Amino acid sequence: MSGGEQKSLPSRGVELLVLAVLVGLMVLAIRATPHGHGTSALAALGFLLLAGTVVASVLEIVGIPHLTAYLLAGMAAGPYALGLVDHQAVTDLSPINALALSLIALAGGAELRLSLLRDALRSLAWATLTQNLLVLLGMAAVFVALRPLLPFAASLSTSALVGVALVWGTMAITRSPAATLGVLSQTRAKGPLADFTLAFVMTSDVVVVILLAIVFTIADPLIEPGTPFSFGAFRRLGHEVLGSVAVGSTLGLMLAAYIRFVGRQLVLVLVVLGLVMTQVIDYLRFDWLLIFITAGFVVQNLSSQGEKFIQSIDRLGEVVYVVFFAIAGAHLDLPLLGKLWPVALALGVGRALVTVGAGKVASHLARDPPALRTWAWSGLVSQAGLALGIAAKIQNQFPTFGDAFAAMAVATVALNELVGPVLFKTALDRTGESTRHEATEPAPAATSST
Amino acid sequence: MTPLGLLFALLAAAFLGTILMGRPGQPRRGTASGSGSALAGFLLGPTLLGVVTPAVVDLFTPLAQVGLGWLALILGLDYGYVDRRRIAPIRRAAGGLAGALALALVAAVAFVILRRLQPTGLPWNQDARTWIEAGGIGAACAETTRLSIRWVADRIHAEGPLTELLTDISDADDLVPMLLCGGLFVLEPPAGLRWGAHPALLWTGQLVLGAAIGVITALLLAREFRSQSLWGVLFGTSTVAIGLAVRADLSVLTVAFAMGVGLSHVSAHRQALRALVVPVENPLRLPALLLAGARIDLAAVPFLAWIVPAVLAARVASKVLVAACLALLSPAARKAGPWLAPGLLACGPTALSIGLAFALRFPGPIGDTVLVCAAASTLLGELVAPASLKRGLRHAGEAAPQTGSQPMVRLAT
Repeated sequence: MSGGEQKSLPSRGVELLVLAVLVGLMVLAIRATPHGHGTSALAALGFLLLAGTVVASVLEIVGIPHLTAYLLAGMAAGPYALGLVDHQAVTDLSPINALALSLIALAGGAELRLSLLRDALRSLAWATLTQNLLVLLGMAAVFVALRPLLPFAASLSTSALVGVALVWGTMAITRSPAATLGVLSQTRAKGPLADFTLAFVMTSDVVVVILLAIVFTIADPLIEPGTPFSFGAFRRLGHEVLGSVAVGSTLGLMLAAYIRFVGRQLVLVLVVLGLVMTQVIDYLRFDWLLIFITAGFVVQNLSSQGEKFIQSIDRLGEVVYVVFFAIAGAHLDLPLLGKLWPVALALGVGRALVTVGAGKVASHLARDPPALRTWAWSGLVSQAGLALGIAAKIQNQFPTFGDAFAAMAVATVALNELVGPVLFKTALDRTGESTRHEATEPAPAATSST
Repeated sequence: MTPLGLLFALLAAAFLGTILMGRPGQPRRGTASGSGSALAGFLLGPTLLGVVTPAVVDLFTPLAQVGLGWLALILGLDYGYVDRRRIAPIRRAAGGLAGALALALVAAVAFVILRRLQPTGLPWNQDARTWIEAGGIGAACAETTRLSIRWVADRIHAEGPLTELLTDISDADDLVPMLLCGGLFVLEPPAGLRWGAHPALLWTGQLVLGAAIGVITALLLAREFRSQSLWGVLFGTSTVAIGLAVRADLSVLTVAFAMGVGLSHVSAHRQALRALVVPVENPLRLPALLLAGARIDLAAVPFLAWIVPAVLAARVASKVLVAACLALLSPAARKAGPWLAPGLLACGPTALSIGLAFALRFPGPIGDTVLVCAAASTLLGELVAPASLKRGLRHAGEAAPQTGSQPMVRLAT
């Protein structure tokens, strides 16, 4: 994930050759060990990591962001394409995925400096209002308008359609902290667009959680008329948000104390902590994304250990982002995407257009600088895990149409996941915020710290 | 808390404890062989407290495999070197012979005892399972751990030809057991493999696979060395090597060791790579040995009371032979007198790693017996070797005079 590093053509040739050898080894291993499905996660993990790294390096020539390359590598290696990584391996790797996301959230929180939030407060406030309300309502309208193309929506009553459309709208306002951080980590971008996108995407998690509770409270009786109107969701919301912030703050203070008084092997401590905490948080039913963002925020803003903390997490970036996005790529249901792509494309384009429109309105109201007026929307197209989490919730809660809804959501998120990083990186390049436009930075030398 | 959560917490606590207790520039704390976590695992395991059940330990098998693979990778990467110094070929050969001698003697005794106690009715040259068990015991009981030598040398500030000789021999004696594991693993056709092949071919295949992935890593790192992808590439290639070995029921230790040796010999960045991975050794050793300890089940070992004493006796005899050979060839070793042989009994992480690898590949009596023998050897070494080594090095005049506090001359680990 290094930015600013240019490689020669022969270097990339060697990398491709090595990738071909690795593919050959994997094919041979699969042919030679037909019953090795239960034990293939390790080889799959290593292969995804290498394939992602090599493909990203090669596709860098045509300006494709590393994240998109990791996704493509995962898709190619995954169970729906070459089959080098099977379904069982993808399932077995899910704890590593959770660990990766927890580290990404920690990094995201740590990047949120109070000074940055203060500077961007006006822009953030307007963007939060417009991007969430306009996109929610706009996408609900798009969903209703596309009803003839959505087989599962045909049988819904008008009130149920409105309810489902509102839930779809809520899903549309989720963004991807991982994609944002991944692109920023690759490009080392600095500037108003990078700062705004980072701050908006990280804080939007809280807004989405709150809006989700409100929308579910309204949509439940609309979708299933017999269901009583209940504020139970708000009680759960209070538990989740307040509990998560409290746990996150405590964790952040503990981390800051560790860095201050011990300060060694921080990367390994973070990995161990991530493994243990994801277990504990799952048990307590808190929002672990919010917990880790809060922890990172506390270390950055309530202690003097922020820089050291960010440097340690940065060292993990090379592994964390590749693993996270390559596994996500392998997880993508390509046959489903092939089947639903026209509707998914319509919904994706609709969301992108509404996001652009909302961005323009917000920038106008906030009197943003020109870079933001033009490109503020670009980092908000990517979607990933949170959207799929909402889809899974719908799938469980409404069995009559939940499966079809979730399938549509997976297809749409897949498109946004592929296109979003490309748009954001293009915007960073165009605004001159990525280091590609600066003098090449000296690449960091290998260190022995782990 | 669930057993899984408990084990996670224990691993985390033990791991953090090691980090917090160890300080750079100070001698390593804990047991001389660095196997203290195996004792903790044994206490929690089925034989004593029963807190960690075999089912829970099984959940951590992938973690154990990765730990074993990385330990073997580091051994391979470091093979033939002590820090930045290259070990002379003659000493490498001597170390290899010392390991082979101990392995052969212990394996031979174990084979005879096992054939007597568990007759299979097969001719001796076709009794593959007994060969695997005896060979595994031999491989696990072959080493003299470099960690104990350094632990003692650090504490008595020893420096001199004998200290260097023992360090070199103990570093080089891992070669034969590491390579032999690959051969033993394929004596019984791996269940995971679709195509049958002669064991010699499969054994060579493991070495070629490991070495090839080592070369691939070197090629990728040659291009990436100054980039942040370094860790990603190293972690990726090692995980592919370990993963392929696990999938095909081959020896993770042999494949990863061969990868380390291949990488070390082809890459121009050996020293920098070593600096990168050696700090990981201690944190990796800890969970791997904890899991090895937790897997020890004395009740599952048939004829424990016969096998373990016989194996220990054979190991003592083998080290007496090695010490005698050293004394014949080296005046410095001669000066250590009778303390040299018990000093060579130190063993630990490599022995327990081999034991754990056998327990994972051959669950049941074979794996349990090899692991218990490895643990018994480690225990014996821990009790006898450090004190004997101290005496031996003092006899040889290589320990610094005991004059209170003084600056420490420390062999870097």
